[in-house]
Amino acid sequence: MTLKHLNFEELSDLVDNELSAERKEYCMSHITICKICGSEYESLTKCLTLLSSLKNESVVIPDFSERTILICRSRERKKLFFKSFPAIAASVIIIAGAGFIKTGLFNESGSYVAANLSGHNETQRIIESVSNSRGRILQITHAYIDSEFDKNSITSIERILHKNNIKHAVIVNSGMLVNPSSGKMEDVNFTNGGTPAADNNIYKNQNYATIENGKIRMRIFK
Amino acid sequence: MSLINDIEIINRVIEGDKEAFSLIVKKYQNMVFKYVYYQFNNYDEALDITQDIFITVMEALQSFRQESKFSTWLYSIMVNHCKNYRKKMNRYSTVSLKVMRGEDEVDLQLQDYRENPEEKVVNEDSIRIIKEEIERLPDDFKDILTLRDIDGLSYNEISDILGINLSNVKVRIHRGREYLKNRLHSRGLI
Repeated sequence: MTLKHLNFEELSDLVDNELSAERKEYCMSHITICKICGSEYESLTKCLTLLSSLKNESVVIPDFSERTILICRSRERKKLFFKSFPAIAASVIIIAGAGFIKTGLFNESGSYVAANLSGHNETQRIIESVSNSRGRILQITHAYIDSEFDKNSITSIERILHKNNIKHAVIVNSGMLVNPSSGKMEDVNFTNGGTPAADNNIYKNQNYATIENGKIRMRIFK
Repeated sequence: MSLINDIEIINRVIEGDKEAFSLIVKKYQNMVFKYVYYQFNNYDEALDITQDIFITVMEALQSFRQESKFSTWLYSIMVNHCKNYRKKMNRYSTVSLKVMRGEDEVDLQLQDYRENPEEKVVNEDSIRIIKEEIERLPDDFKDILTLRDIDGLSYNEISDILGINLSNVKVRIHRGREYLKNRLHSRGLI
């Protein structure tokens, strides 16, 4: 029998029954006659006994099953919500878009006509101004509003229009006016309204014209 | 519960019977908790981590390809979860053998169910010391000794769980045991 000591790997393999039958027999014989290896083997088995004793240790723990399922279900619902979020957002956009188109916020070409909104506001403002000056609207186009006022109201409406920086021009008897932008005389081609009146009033010298019974017509540009 | 039963339960869960997962939890919760508890030696922390592990397992169940035993797959998730947790907390040596009961800190109550306790004289002090020493082991040794010498897994199972080859498993087990034996010797336990 050799006196060469067993290394720790062999002792460990011996415990785990990982050695060949021949080597196992040799090692078993060795540890019975070699005190050092025997002591080492005993220490190792004690150490492993202590470790394995923990396997049988009973630790009081709660039941994890119910809570695990509850948490997983809750997280699944959250995931589903976030997964469907883009679809919900897309639906909202489509519905809103359809609504805008139907209500005219988009023009035929599909472009958003924000300008129309401000134009609408301006038209509203002009109509209110005319109304406040006791005038009446004769026609409304995309570019201007033709209106008619009592001659006594002309100062009032002009003050309002100047204040709001709204371009306007009085229509003369001949159906012409001076375009405030270009400064040129233009044929108004006025169709709404009656026959121009023959009587001029105080505005005659200023090329203003009354149409009938002291009324004055004015083109207010948007 | 056999391997077939595990697979049957898993298939039920995948098909929508979520409640069936409680059978899996009930079967493995003690084993998972103990592994975690010996890794961190903190009862409350182990409860939280165990809960997280089962949530991870349930959510990842679809990805279990049934090429290995379910328990091996579960162990892999458990080991990786503990590793990640350890990294996250950047903690390697915290010792807590107490558990909070209301405002009082009391010793964790353990019961000895061994068939022949006389043959393995293990008193509470020994348990306390061995737990302390396991907790202080280098991580590689801690994983492998818990799997091998506490949970009693085979070399092959450990190789699958840790993703290392068999010879590495053996080397780590030998070194871990030697390290732990020396530590326990220095504390007069063996």
